Amino acid sequence: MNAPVNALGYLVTRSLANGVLFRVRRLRRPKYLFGALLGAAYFYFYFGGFLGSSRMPWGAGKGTPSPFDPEIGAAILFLATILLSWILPASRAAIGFTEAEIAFLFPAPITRRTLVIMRLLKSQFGLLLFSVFMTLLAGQFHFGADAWFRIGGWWVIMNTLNLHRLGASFALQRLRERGMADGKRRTVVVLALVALAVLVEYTRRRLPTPPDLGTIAGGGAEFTRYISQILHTGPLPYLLAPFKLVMAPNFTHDAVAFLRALLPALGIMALHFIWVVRADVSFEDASIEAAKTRAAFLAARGRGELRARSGSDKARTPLWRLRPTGFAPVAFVWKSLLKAGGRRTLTRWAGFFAALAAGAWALGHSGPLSPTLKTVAIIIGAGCYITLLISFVMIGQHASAQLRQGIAAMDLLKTYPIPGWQLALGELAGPVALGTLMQWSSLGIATMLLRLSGPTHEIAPLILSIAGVVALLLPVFNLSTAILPCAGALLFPGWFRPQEAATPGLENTGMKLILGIAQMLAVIVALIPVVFFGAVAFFAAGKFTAILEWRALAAGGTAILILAMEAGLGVAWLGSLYDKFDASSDS
Amino acid sequence: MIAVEGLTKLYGDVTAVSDLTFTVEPGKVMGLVGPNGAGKTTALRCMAGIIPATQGRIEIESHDLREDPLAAKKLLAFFPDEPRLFDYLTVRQHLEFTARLYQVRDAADRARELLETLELTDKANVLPPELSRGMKQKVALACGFLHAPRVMFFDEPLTGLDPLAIRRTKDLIAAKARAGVAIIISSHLLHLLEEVCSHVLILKRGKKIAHGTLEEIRTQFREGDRDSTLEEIFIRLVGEDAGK
Repeated sequence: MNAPVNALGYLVTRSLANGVLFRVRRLRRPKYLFGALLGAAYFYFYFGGFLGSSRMPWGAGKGTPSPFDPEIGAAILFLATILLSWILPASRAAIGFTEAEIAFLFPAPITRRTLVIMRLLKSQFGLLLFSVFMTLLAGQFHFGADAWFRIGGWWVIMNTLNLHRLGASFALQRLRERGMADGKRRTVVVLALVALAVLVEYTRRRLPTPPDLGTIAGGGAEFTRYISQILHTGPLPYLLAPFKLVMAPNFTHDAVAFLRALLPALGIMALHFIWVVRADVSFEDASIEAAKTRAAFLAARGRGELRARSGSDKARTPLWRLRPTGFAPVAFVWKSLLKAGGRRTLTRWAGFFAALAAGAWALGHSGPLSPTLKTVAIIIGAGCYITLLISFVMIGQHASAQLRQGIAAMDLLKTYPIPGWQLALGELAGPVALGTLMQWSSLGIATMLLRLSGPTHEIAPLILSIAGVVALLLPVFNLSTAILPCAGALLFPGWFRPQEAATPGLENTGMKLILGIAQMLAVIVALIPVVFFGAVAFFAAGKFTAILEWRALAAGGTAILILAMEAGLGVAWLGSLYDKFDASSDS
Repeated sequence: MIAVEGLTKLYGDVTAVSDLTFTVEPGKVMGLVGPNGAGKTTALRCMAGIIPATQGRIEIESHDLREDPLAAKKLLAFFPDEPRLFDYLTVRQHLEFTARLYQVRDAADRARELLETLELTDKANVLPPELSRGMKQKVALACGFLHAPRVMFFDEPLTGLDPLAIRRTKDLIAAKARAGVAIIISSHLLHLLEEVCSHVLILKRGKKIAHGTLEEIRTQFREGDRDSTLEEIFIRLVGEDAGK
C-alpha cells in the first residue's frame, strides 16, 4: 500500500506547490492583484474580529446558568446529520474522485481498499481547513495551544461525519446488491424515526404542559427550558450518549478535560474508519458518474450558470408560443423565461407568492392576532423586505452574468441581423422581468402586512401611494442599475471571464467584492439624478397643492421619467458597445 | 494477451454489455466498433479493471482481473477518449506520478525517451491548461507507455486530433503492436481503423454481431461486393442504429 500512498503524497504536495506558484505568478495581472489585496483585506477584517475577541476561551460558559445544554443541542444536530445520510443517500455509493484521479488511479495496480484510504487521506486537508474555519466561526480561535485543541475537536467531528456518510452509503449499496429496494430501506429508517417520536411523546406526557409557541417571540426562555426538560428525561439521554461523546471535546473547559474527552471520540472515529475500509463495495461506476457530474457542474459554473444541465433535464414548456415575426428582444425574454424553468416552475413560484399574499391579506384583515400568528407575520414581512433589499443588487448582477454568458457565444450573436441595442435589451429584459415580478410580489405582501403595524389595522393613503410609485419605479430602476455592470463586462472582458472567476481563492473573493462594490456604485449613480429631480418635483408640486399624496405622486412620476430616460440611454450605449465588441480582446 | 469470456455488464435492469467472448493475441490490434451506446466504452472499462464486470472472466497476460487485479493492472494501460490530466502537475510531474504508481525503476530514462519521441521535451515543465488538446493527448500517451504495458486499451484515441497527430498516433499504435503489445481500439473512424487493426469486433446494443479479421469480416458480410469497406459492412450490419 506504500507505493500508492506515496504517489498520493507526491500528487497532493506537487499540486499544492504548483497551485500556489500559479496563483502568485498571475498576480502580475492587475485584476488578480487588486482582487487578492481586496480579498485579503476582507478576510483580515472579517476574521480579525474573531481572532482578537477570543469570544469563547477555555472556561467560557463554565457555570453560566442556561436552561439548555448546548452539548445536547450539538448531539441532536449530529444525530440528525447522521440520520440524513441513511434517509437521503445518493442512488449508488460513490467516492469523490476527480476525472483525472479516475483516469490515473482506477486502471492502476491499486486495490479498492487502498483507493478508499487514498480518498480519505486526500480529504484530510480540506477537513482540516474546514475545522479551522469552524473554530474561527465558533469564536474559539485565539493564538496558542487552545486553538489547536479546538481545531482537533472539530477535525474529529468532521472526520466522523465524513466516515459515517461514506460507511452508510456503502452499507446501503450492499443492501441494494442483496436486493433490498430503496423503498424498503426508507421504510426501515422511517420506522426508526417513528419509534424515536414515540419515545419523545412518552417522555413529553410525563412532563408539564408545553408553553405557547408565541413565547419564542418573547425570548423563548420558557420554551427552551421545556425542550431541555424533554431531553434530560426518559431514554433520550441514553440515545444521545454516543453522539455526545463525539461532540464532547469541543465542550471541555481545560486541556486535561479535552484530552480525556478526545480519547472516546477518537475511538468512535477509528471504529468508523475500520467499518469503511473493510466494506468491499463496488463504488467505481457511481464514482465515475459523480466525477462526470461534478466536472459538468464546474464547467457550467465556468460559463456563469448556476447549475449543470443533466441528461435527465426535461424539455420545458414556454410561457407562450413565440411567433416567428415581431420585436426581436421578445425572443430573448422568451428564452430567459424558458431557462428559468418554463411554465411549470414559474407557475409554482407564482402559486407560492399567491399563497403568501393570500395569507398576508387574511392576517391583515383578521382581528387581534395571537403571539404565534404575530411571529409568523413578522417572519413573512421581514423575508419580503430582505428579498427586496437583496434584489436591488442581485438583479443587476444576474443580468450581467447572463450577458457574460452571451459574450461566450458572441460569434453567434454577432451573426444575427439585429441592431446592438435590441441584443442588449433582449439580454437584460429577461432577468429584469423576472426580478421585477418577484419584487412586486414581495412589495405587495409587505404592504398588506403593514396593516398589522397600526392600531386601526388600516394602511395610510400616503403609504399606499409610496408603494404604488415604488412598484412603478422598480422595472426601470432594475434596467438602469443592470446597465453599468453589463457595460463593464463589455468594456473590460478580461476582468469578467466567468471560467477564471470560477476558480476559488483569495483573489476571486476580491474580484467578486470589486463587482459587488461596482454594482452598489451603479445603484447610487443611477439614483442621484432621480432623487434630485424627484425632490425638485415634490417641492414644485407644493406650489400647487398641499395634499402630501399628490406631491408624492408628482415626485414619483418624475423619478420614473428620469429613470426611464436613463434606462433608454443606457440600452442605446450598451447596444453601441455590443456593436463595437471584439470577442478576441483581452483588456 | 487479452482473453475475455462471457463478459456481461448490467446497470440495474439495463444490459450494457452482454456475453462478450474473444481473445486478442500479442502483437494484434482489435478494433471495437459500434454505434453510440453500443457498450464499447463500458466493455473497455471492464477490461481495464476500472469498473467491475457483472459476470464473465477477463485475463490480462494470463492474470485473472478479478482474482489478481494488481498483477493484471500492472500490465495494462487505458487511454480514455478525453485526456484527463491534473491541473497543477506539469508534464514531467505527470510522468513522475505515474512512475510512482506503477513502481517504474528506470522511470527517468524512460520519461526522457518518451518526451523526446512524443516531442514534449520543451513542454516538460508546462501545466496542462497551457497545452492544446493534441498535446494533452500526447501526455496521456506518455503516461500510459511509461510502465511498458503488454496490453493497451484505447477509447476513441483519434477523435479531435489534427491529421498530423492522427498519423503519429496511428504510427505509435502500430509500433507498439509490432513490439508485441495486444491492443484494443474503439473508434468511429472506420477507415482509419482499417489501416491499423488486424481484427474487428462489431457491437450492437451490447452484443457481439461480428468478429474476426478484416478479411474474414469482408468475406462473411460482403453481399456480392468483393471490395466492401469496413464502413459499408458496418452500416449494413448495424442498420438503423447507425448515426444515433
